Amino acid sequence: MALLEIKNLHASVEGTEILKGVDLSVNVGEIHAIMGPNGSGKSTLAQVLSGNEAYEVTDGSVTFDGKDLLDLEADERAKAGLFMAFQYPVEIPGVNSAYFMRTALNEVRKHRGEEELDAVGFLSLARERMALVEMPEDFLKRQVNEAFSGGEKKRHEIFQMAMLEPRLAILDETDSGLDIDALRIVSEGVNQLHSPDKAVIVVTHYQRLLEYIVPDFVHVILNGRIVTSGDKHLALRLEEEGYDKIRAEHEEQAISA
Amino acid sequence: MATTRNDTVDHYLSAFEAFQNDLNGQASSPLNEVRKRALDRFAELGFPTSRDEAWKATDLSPITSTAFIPHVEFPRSVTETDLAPFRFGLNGPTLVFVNGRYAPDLSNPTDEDGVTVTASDEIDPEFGRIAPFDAHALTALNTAFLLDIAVIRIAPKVRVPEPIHLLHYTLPGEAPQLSTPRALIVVEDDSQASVVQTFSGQEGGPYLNNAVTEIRIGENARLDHVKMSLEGPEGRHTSNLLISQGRTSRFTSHTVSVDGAFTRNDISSVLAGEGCESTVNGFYILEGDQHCDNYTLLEHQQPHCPSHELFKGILQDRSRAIFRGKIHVHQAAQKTDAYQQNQNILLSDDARINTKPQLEIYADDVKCSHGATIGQLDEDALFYLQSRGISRSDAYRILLRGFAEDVLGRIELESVRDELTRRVLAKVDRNGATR
Ligand SMILES: Nc1ncnc2c1ncn2[C@@H]1O[C@H](COP(=O)(O)OP(=O)(O)OP(=O)(O)O)[C@@H](O)[C@H]1O
Ligand SMILES: [Mg+2]
Repeated sequence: MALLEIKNLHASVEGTEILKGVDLSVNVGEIHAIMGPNGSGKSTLAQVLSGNEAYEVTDGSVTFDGKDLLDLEADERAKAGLFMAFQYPVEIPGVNSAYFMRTALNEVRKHRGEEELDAVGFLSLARERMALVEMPEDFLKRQVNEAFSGGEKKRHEIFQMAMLEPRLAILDETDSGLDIDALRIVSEGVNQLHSPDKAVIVVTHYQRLLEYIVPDFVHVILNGRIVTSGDKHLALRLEEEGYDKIRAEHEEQAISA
Repeated sequence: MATTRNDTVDHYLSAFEAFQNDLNGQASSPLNEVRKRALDRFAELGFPTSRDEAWKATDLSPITSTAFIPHVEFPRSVTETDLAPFRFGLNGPTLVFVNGRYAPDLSNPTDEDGVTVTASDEIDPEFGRIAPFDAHALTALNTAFLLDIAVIRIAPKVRVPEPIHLLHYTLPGEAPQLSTPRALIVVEDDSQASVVQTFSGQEGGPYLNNAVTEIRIGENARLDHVKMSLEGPEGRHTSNLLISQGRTSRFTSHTVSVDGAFTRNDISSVLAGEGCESTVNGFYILEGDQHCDNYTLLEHQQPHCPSHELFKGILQDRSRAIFRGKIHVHQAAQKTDAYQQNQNILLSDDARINTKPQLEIYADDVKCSHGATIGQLDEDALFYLQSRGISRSDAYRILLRGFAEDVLGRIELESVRDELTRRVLAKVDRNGATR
């Protein structure tokens, strides 16, 4: 049974349909890359999967670990082991990062039947995981994402992932905003966290990331639908050709269909 | 019971006679002369109306439509158990006032090492200079029925190690009663002190605490001030806080309104010495039909003075809040750097906030900025927290706490800060079920 099974997913925002029948199956141990032009619906898919109620699911189904994912609130999805690294992490003034992370981690741990961490236990785990993404410790003292640079926000997302140890991580353009060194550090972190009982979906525009995080499958999303899938060579092809050819092929298909 | 404004003014005029009789021979004291003049002035002024700029948006009827009764003596006594929740673990010099009267057995006054913290019915030479009764009706009313005046005096070059606490506690009686808390605080040159004023009360009926505090801060002196209203559910609270600051002095105040049916805070800070700095912060959290009104006036009279003002509020149910922030930069006050912010979160469609900055600038080389926000909680932030495993109701609480701590977190006294945060969150939680 697939860890994530998306069938004919349709979703709209403020009455406009964005996802127009997405099918995707992700098994444990796999890394999937989703590519596609701006505005094609990649972030929408990530947001819908993680339970953002601003998006309305109008058709289709999603199961996660055999359970109906769409039935769960966003926090229940996170507790069940789903994690999304935001393309645009949200700044939360007034909320201390350490407090936020410890609260979230303990919620997830409680759900898994694990012991809650006290301040000391939390700090030692946090230190270890911050080292993984080479994030300075004083970030914990700051307010969540407040005045973080673009790259710092992205590292902070992967740090959270490292803390929560999700079964499925969806990384929405985690590479954008990272400098060359940070891209390598963050990618290595993601690879270290990956294991045969987990899965990763990376959303990216660039082949560069996929040299570090090597995908088993690459999917191209166009206008709210996955139009073609392949292995890592598909990403190389896209890098050379751009989306025009696929777009043209797809339009032909759409016309002949 | 009186119903109209004029009736209520008349009520105080006749109550004054009974009050005089109860004073038993003290009626010829210098204080009583001041009382009489203040009463005359109150009769002339009457209550403020919506024609007064500073009272335009305020519905003052919770004050004017009830005949609150001034008392010389009050029969009911208060125990340490009643007061304990309002002590905040502050063990320094403390004056406790119960229903406006000084309670020596519950207090810890001092008069040594340059630190004077006493209650008195004598007129200090500085009394009424910063808070004259002729300009402000509620100050006149306060002065007319004055009993025990809290006096804090810090001699020059003294650093007071512990915070000083003025704790007012009201037990509502059968009839609605008037208390007139009054404090004079003088921090002389190069001294440093921290003063906490707590206004608290029990449930059991309406009462009015009509408080006046006047503060003079000497050259290069520093005062940290916290004023809390934690009045009973039917308690009404009006407060006039006036500050005059000397050269390079620093004043930091937090006016926190948590409980009480009606609250009006007037805060006027005169930056009267070059290079002095004034921080006037506030926080309010309202529920039910509560009303809270903050009127601030910063008088920049001298050059090179920064002022910072941050007022934040959470409004629930049908509550009402008003914020008026006036910054007056006099012609001489070049290089003024004044910053003002008022931020509000409305958690109910029926809550109302009326917020207005007012800048009057007569100097040309100044920096003044102001802003006001009114909104709901940020849905993106709620989702972000939820997406990490935090339930929506906890996310709600975390965001509101963050919003409040932006102000409360600036209070230096940890025990006060923690207890206020706890009370604010308790109030948020009480209303959580309605969301
Ligand atoms: N909250 C919203 N309100 C209105 N339109 C939206 C909203 N969210 C997404 N859209 C629209 O849906 C479409 C898909 O957006 P989405 O963010 O999913 O694209 P994307 O594939 O992630 O693009 P990019 O590569 O630029 O990140 C866009 O046209 C976008 O404008
Ligand atoms: Mg996107």
